[in-house]
Amino acid sequence: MNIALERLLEGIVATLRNDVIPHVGDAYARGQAVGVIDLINNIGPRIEWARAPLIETVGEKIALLSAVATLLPGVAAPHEASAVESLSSAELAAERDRLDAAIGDALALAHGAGEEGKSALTLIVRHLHDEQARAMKTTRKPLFAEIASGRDDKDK
Amino acid sequence: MSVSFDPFDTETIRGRIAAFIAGQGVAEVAVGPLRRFTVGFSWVTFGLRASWRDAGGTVERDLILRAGPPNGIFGPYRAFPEFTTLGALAGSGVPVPKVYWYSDDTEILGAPFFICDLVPGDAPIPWTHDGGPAFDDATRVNLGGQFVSALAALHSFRWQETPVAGIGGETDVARTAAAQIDTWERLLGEWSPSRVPMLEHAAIWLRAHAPVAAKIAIVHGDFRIGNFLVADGRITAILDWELVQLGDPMEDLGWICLQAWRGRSPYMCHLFTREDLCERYAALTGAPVDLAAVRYWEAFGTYKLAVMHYGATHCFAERGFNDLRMAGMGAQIPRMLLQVESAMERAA
Repeated sequence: MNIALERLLEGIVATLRNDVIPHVGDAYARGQAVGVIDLINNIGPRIEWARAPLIETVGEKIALLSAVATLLPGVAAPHEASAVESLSSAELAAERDRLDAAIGDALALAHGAGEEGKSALTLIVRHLHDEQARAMKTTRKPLFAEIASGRDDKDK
Repeated sequence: MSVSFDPFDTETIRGRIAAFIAGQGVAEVAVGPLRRFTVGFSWVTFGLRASWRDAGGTVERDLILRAGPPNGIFGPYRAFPEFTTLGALAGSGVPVPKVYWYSDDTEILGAPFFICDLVPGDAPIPWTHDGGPAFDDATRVNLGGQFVSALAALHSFRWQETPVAGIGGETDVARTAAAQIDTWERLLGEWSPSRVPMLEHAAIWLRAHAPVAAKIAIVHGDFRIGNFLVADGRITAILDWELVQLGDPMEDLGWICLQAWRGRSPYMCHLFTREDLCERYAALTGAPVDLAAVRYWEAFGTYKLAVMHYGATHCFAERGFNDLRMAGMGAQIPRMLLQVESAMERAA
């Protein structure tokens, strides 16, 4: 999820306030929806994106770039992975983005290097696949059918 | 003075639209209340009943007002390409709503807009509650035939001597694919605050394998289940032309084949197999379909859809658009990136 947590919660609250609550006819249901807003407002200051998966992601990107640097001239080896463990979630996300930029640069170099770049390219592409495959473990099936129809799946 | 567009303030929009219509050479204009439709992820759609008097007498119609909000996914918008294309296709083999007026002047409504007829029908959607088929076999075959016929008619339309020639797009057959990659790569740069190596990899691959188009045609750009209306077993209108441009018609065929439009159904857009689609299209247009080109454009389409997911995320995260469907699309980016990788592998 690449949206700042604060903005995500703000958007959820705004949607409940402007698009949902005015159209809820039942007073108890309306009160419960306001209760959701109340809880979100109180949860917000207490949470951040989970650090463990971010540390793992950053560590894998550092390992990838270290390996690619040995295969492809022009790619600089990154710093040690141990240096990131004390970072906050926001700092880790920024580090992930910085490393992604370096991976993008290495990718362009590998593509342009022909046969000599193939080993590096294989490593990078495998990393990109593994990263998304891991992210899929926490990505739930979208509820687009229910969203589009406005009906609960159980109504079918 | 700058006019702001508030889709919830339907009374203000109604007044402005009534004044706009009155300035279009008609008299005795009356516009009824606006009701907002929840369909679509991009343009805001309202239904309304209006009447006016023109040289032929009094006209009373159920209309659709479509407005492109400044903070919408593809904003800033232009109504001209969609309005012009719909106008040109009237009476062709492509079922489209009759269009009346448009404006790209944001001083009128605070957003570009156009007005067309309300066409009866329901829009089947690609997402089913269990991921399975959207249609029974008889419906699938019936709608599939009409769907391909409309596409073949669109791609056979002689646009060269019509105003459609001005809607935009790359008309050099050798450059048209690269121009599309340029466009979506630029949009990704605008919409994603960080680099996306998987999509950079895809763009490099797409550039290296870009086909030369057999011809240039009107490309709908989002021709799929979800963007047509059905009434009594008949496709009554092809909708959502906001991505229309001139380009390689194979782009629309590839787009139809995206994984995203079929769930676990074996049928493209829940309507037909990939081979059946290509055979029927070739029979209708008289031109053979290069299956490799369709696979290429399917890979490109998946790339384009992934970029759109970044657009939706940007809309929510940075442009204050509170539609939670946008944030929901952001959550599906890993799924999209893996689909880009798979589509490239199939096309390689």
